[in-house]
Amino acid sequence: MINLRWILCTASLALAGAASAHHSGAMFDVNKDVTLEGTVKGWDFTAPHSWLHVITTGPDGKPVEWSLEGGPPGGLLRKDSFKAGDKVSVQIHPMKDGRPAGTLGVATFPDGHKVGVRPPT
Amino acid sequence: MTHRRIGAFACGAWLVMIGSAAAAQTAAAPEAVAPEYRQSWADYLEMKAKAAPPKIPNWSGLWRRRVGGGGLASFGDQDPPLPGLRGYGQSTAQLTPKYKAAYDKKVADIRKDIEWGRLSYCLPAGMPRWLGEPFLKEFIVTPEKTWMINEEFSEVRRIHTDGQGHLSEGLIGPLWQGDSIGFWDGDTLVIHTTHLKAGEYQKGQPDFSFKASLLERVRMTDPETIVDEITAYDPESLLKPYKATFTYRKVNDPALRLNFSSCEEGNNAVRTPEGGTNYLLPGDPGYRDPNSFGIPDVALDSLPK
Repeated sequence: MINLRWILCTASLALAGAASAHHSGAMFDVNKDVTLEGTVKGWDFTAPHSWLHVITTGPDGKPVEWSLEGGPPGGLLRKDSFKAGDKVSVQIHPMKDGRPAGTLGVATFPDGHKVGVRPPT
Repeated sequence: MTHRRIGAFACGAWLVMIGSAAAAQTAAAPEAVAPEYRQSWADYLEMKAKAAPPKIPNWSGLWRRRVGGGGLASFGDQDPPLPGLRGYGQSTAQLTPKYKAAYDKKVADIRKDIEWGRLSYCLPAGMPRWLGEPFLKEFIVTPEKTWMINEEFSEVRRIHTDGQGHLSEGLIGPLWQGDSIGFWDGDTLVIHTTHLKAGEYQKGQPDFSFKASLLERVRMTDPETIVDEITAYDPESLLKPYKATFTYRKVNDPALRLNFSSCEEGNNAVRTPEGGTNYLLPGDPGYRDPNSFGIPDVALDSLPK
């Protein structure tokens, strides 16, 4: 079982936070960096935003589904970036209202490869 | 010439005459633009008079905006960061008092997390906000017309370079992308756009009125870079023309193709009672699953895993 582990980081996310969206991102706390560890439930590779759904384990030991907003197709993410069942560690900016959702930042897989890292320009 | 041939000739001549008259009615004479557009139109005509012979470039491929110091919520590369609001640019527009007050209020509201944009209704960005939106872009150039396509909302701009003027007043109303005509100054596309829907330059940026018009110079500066230098004119909102530069970098990923996308299928944004934005999440009443919204029930089990 993958445990939910909250890690407060001082480094900013590789991907821009709330202001990267075409809509307001005020619902996300861009000053808070959190790392989630869990299992991918689903990957909605849609526009204008993709969504990664990750099952983690809450403090009470019960499963919690997190919904993480990512960029659009054609950005740093691809249809094959994630699949159901993947184990991932994901950096996020969480929702200010405490609901299990946030922005999708860099995702790291058990083999060390990362998704969502901007290549050098 | 037989009577039948005379009749056919006369009929054909009459049809040509009718067609020409119709074309003249739809294409405005060069000097016949509405008063609010005359400054930008004069600047456009001045550029046209000095234009070099056309040298149509190849802008094929996919492109993405290179973000300047102000972040994605800025209008152009030149905006500095707005202090205290991550990712928002400080506008350099010289605004009239009415529009300055509206902009100041908008920024003050955003600092209190009160922000709602029309794109959350799945309405398009429109021009000139089209220029600053993220997502992939495609530019299709022909001698008679150039199409500029944004992946977001599948918005298409059409710039007519076949010599016709703007559509006549009375035959046109406010348009999301405006009415765009242009010419080639060497390898630079010069574009004049009128009849815009009022809107905002970008989220967190000033608003403009229905009387705005735009003048652009678009050029590929190297094989990986296209630069759009835009000047906005608006007698209602601007004290002087507002200049901005947008830079687009080529996206070299053979696995990428620009496809149609629907905003509505996964639009879970909701407006809060305070006027801000929030999301419905899976399990919330009214949540839209983009995988199944609008799909016949009988076909749901065929969704690729």
